[in-house]
Amino acid sequence: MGEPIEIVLNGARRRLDGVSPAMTLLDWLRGPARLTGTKEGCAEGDCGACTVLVDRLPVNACLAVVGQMHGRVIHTVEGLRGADGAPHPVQRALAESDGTQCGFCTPGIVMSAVAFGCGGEEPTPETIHDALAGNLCRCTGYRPIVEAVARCARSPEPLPPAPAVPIDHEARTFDGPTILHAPRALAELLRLRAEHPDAWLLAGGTDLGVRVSHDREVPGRVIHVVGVPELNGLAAHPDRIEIGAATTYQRLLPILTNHVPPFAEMIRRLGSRQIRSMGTIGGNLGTASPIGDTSPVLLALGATLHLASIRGRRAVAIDDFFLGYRETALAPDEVIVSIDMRLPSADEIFHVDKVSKRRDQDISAVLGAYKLGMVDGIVREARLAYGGMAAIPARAPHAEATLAGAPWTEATVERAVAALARDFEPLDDWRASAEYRLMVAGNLLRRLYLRSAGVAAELDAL
Amino acid sequence: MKGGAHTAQRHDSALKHTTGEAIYIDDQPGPTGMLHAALVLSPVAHGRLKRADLAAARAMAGVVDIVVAADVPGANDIAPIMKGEAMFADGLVEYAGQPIAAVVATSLDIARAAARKVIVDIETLPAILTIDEALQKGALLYPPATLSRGDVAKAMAAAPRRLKGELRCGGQEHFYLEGQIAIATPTEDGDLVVHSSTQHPTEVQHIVSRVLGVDYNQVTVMVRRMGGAFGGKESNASWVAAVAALLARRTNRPVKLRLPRGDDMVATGKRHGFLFRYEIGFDEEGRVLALDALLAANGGHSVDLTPGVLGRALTHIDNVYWIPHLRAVGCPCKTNTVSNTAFRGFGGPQGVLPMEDAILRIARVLGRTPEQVRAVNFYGEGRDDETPYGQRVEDNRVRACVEQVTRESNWQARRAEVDTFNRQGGPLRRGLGMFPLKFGISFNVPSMNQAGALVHVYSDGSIRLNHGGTEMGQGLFVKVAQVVAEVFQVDLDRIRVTATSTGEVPNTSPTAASTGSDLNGWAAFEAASTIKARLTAFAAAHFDVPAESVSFRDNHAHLGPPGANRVVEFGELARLAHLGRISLSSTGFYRTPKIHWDPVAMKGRPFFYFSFGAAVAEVAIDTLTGESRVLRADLVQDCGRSLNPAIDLGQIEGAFVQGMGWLTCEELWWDAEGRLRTKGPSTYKIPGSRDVPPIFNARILDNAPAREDTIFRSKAVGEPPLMLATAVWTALKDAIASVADHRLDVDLDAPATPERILMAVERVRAAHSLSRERGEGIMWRTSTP
Ligand SMILES: Cc1cc2nc3c(=O)[nH]c(=O)nc-3n(C[C@H](O)[C@H](O)[C@H](O)COP(=O)(O)OP(=O)(O)OC[C@H]3O[C@@H](n4cnc5c(N)ncnc54)[C@H](O)[C@@H]3O)c2cc1C
Ligand code: FES
Ligand code: FES
Repeated sequence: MGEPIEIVLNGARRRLDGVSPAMTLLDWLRGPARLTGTKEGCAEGDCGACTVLVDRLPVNACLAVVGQMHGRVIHTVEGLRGADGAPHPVQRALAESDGTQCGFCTPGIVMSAVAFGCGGEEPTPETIHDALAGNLCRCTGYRPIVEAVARCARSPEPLPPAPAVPIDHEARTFDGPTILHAPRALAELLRLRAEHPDAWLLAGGTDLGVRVSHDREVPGRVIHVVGVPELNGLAAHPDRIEIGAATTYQRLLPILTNHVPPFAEMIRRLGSRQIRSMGTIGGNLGTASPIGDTSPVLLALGATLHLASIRGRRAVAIDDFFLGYRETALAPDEVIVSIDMRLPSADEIFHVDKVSKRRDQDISAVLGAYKLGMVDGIVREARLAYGGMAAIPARAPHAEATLAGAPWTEATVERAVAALARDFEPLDDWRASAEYRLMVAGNLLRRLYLRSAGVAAELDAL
Repeated sequence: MKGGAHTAQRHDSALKHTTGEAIYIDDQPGPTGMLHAALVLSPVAHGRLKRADLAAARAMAGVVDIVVAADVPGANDIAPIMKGEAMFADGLVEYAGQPIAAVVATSLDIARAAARKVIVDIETLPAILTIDEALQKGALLYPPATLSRGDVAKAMAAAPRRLKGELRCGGQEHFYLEGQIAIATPTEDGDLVVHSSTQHPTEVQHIVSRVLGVDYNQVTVMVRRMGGAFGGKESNASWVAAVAALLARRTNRPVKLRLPRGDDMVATGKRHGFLFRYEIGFDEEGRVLALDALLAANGGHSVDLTPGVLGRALTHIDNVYWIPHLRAVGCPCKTNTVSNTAFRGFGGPQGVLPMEDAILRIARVLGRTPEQVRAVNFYGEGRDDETPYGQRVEDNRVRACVEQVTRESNWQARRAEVDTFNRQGGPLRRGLGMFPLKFGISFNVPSMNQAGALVHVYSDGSIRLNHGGTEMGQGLFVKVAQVVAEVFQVDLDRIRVTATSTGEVPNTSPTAASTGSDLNGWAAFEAASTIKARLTAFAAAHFDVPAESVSFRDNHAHLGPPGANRVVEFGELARLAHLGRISLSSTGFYRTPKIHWDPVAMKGRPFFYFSFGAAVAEVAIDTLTGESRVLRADLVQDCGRSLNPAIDLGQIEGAFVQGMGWLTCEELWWDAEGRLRTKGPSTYKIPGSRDVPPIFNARILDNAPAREDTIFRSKAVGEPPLMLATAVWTALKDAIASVADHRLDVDLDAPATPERILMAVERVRAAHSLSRERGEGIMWRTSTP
């Protein structure tokens, strides 16, 4: 039967008796724990007012459910004062730099800044904005916040010392109104999945958490997959990378930075650090959103997905995975175990473009990923994939056919651009009109060409 | 003495903000037995409400009560100015998101789940969703208002040159980080204490009283701090509190109503979107001779604060420019959308746009720079200095601001640099833009320009300060405390500012229109000065010295001429005065002098004074995607003799970035059924840290004490700098114009999202290649209304 959830909170071990595992961490902190420093600004992961540290990484407390937190080390803004009661250097710096006005965003910003300090990164505009992308402030205009964060980078004493109170990581089932299973082996996961095809399969919860926190849904049963070792593999081979489905973006980034920089660049614009601390690549595919950012990239690279169920394992080409709007080839008893991604080779042009209303922490209006196999200036093979252009992330067969076998010239590109109109019926909504998306999809091809011709086309380089 | 007027002081709660110890309403431990409320909102934009089926919701365990319009004991009316604006839809639903009922339950989750179970039966009616439709159908909230001077028709006909323009700007969601919230607690005799996140405690008191049908003295409203407001917690906070109060009254238990972000965004009003059409007549030098303009505002379904907003838009149509003949008609369009309301700038940011649009067009037509055209049109000194509403522009600092910002931004060199960059061609373009500002300070309604304060000096010399202003992050509390510190010449930390309460200072105005420190600063000054006078008289008698020789310096009262070395510590003096039976408590009151206004004729002197500013912005755009970046901004803002340069700088920077958001990435998007679909930060994008210009120089205009008798010669700062962001919009237009070598006008509505920028680029590009094909040189093209 159910076991208690235990966490280490601000240095002390806490048992969450009588708490449903599907309660959000934010509701628990602000409610039963009476720690109201952590704020709710949106309950959908976008404002950062609820930022706490989980194992020293910034996390949106509004999206995490307490069942996911078992055995983890959590810090909130209340836990930052030193043993002598003095405010943390970040707290002091932010106050002294006039980095607060109404103060409602502030605790979340403090936590992001502390995480940044813990990470020991070099403070550059790039790293600081990256660290703050998940925190909105409506009052200050950010300038003093950015300065305070820069001052506190690489702070020698980032956090009060962590306690020596290891928690039994073996706990597997928590219950309240919701039952949460945390299997520790693939066989156990597959058995649970087969027994409970209606249960929520939970990875990082950055999609599912929105349903709990924002939509106030209460799942009956949840299977939390991240404790399964087979879903956490991460291996780089000379020509490909194998990624466990439960790999978070945060863990994935270094390896992508080394092996597929354009993919890494895009991941840095997927959500915020808070989202990337928790969000997984398997979750992105499981959500199967037409505007999911990794799907077009995996389509362009021609990835293979490894699926498993108690009936056995199978490999599915990503081209065959997305069937319809949020509908995939996954059987009700199946899970994604890993993603096998071939790396682009030296004679291939590979690029990824994300276009959104705001540069940081925004969902794509259009995401384009392209891989062109080139021989002597001729396009041998073309894989062009887009998000936001149809009900599913999809390739552009007509445009690809136009390119294949043609010389990589402006004229060829123009023909491919024209062909795109036959490939897609783009989404038409608040993020962008269909007309805009189609226009941009074509312009991104033009930009790909300009780039290969050495024309300066990177806005962020200015 | 530490912390007097004009010193840079940190926000009084800064450290509490960063440690998480500052308490917002939702952080207060709820009173025992507190219930939680949730709203039932209309799913349709316009319709006849036939029935609300509450049975399933009532049947849920934990549900205590559900109220609809019929359950309101007083008036179901939340109108702040006019009458007859329903709190709960009664018979008629007028926008998608309109409250229909409220559920109260033992937990928030139960209340929200029950609210979802209420089934509403609405017979839908055709809805008017846009300004254009409203204009077409003549749907207005009240008759149009006209600001006019001279003979426009004649001057227009006689003008050597004329052009027409049309322009739209969107609304803006406040996106205060702390959503709307109130806790109402019943006390005895049917009285209530309401904690409300409001900029206008007195209005909350009035609306709660009206809804419950009780006297004002039965309702006490308090607010210590808000997590942001920006105008969004004026009229909207009142009805949120009234719903909580109604439920508290009926259940006789404390009730909290906190709107989740989605409800907050669909149910509460925003900045008004506008449509402008204008014709402008000018001469060969670019001097404006006549302006005929239509300003159509989307007021939403009810009047709310629209008369004030539209009035301010009209009185800011001239901005810094002398327009001899003018007619500006303001149309308050009625649409089936949420009722729009106050938002930082209150119509000013919209009002200043058409003239900037016109100036760019005039400049292009005449082959001059926009800066030249602006300069010939600035209000004169001593002549050509009367606004269309009859107030003279005195102490005009626009030239000083423009000169300083031109110099500090290194305008000339950067203009050349940007042009050189653009001449290379390529998909990236840069643009440079300027904007000069004049903004009138005072509420447009003279009666609102009053304030009260209450100061106590305790017998240990510690001071408690209370005033009618509210703290929403803008630093009002510390500024007013500085005023009191200055009066008594004691350290700032001797003064404790306490929660705003209708029980302490009554009959207050909202903290709005940038007037917070102007009004409350003076009121506190008066209160403190009264006590100081009593202390002076007491000290003179007690120590047997002439009153003229008593002075206050450095936490002490000095009892003789300088150097006499007879001093008594302030606390000791307070103790002695108390023993001497001297009252150490006083109210203070202030009303702004000189102002008067005839709202029908639109003439008078609505503003005590003007605040000035200027900005230069540089942007880059990607002509393939329409994405843009602001690369640099230089701002100069007139703050008079700043009460607190640190706080004022924060207001300048924060307002600019907020204005930038309004003009660029913040887009409200309604679907064809009139439902707002950008109702959370996932879809409604306010600027993030990276969107702030990497080079961002905000300056307070040097050496500029106010000429009018403002508190210590300071000037208001809350709203004006928001408009400085207009420079970003003019810079974007400049960047787009470079695609056609600045030969064509650029139509660019706000917000200038990537999509609008790309479409503008495409239009310009298409027209340009067309004109080149035809072998034409300059193409004269203006959009026709
Ligand atoms: C503020 C915010 C910003 C975001 N920004 C972006 C963005 O820029 N780009 C983008 O693409 N997405 C974005 N997202 C969406 C989300 O972060 C990603 O889709 C993320 O990858 C989801 O991973 P997760 O582990 O959190 O998924 P979860 O929420 O745990 O699960 C998502 C879905 O995947 C299924 N699933 C999870 N793991 C498996 C598995 N192993 N096998 C089968 N099914 C599985 C789940 O059952 C569920 O249906 C954002 C979300 C938020 C809240
Ligand atoms: S509350 Fe906004 S991100 Fe969690
Ligand atoms: S200080 Fe108000 S939101 Fe950041």
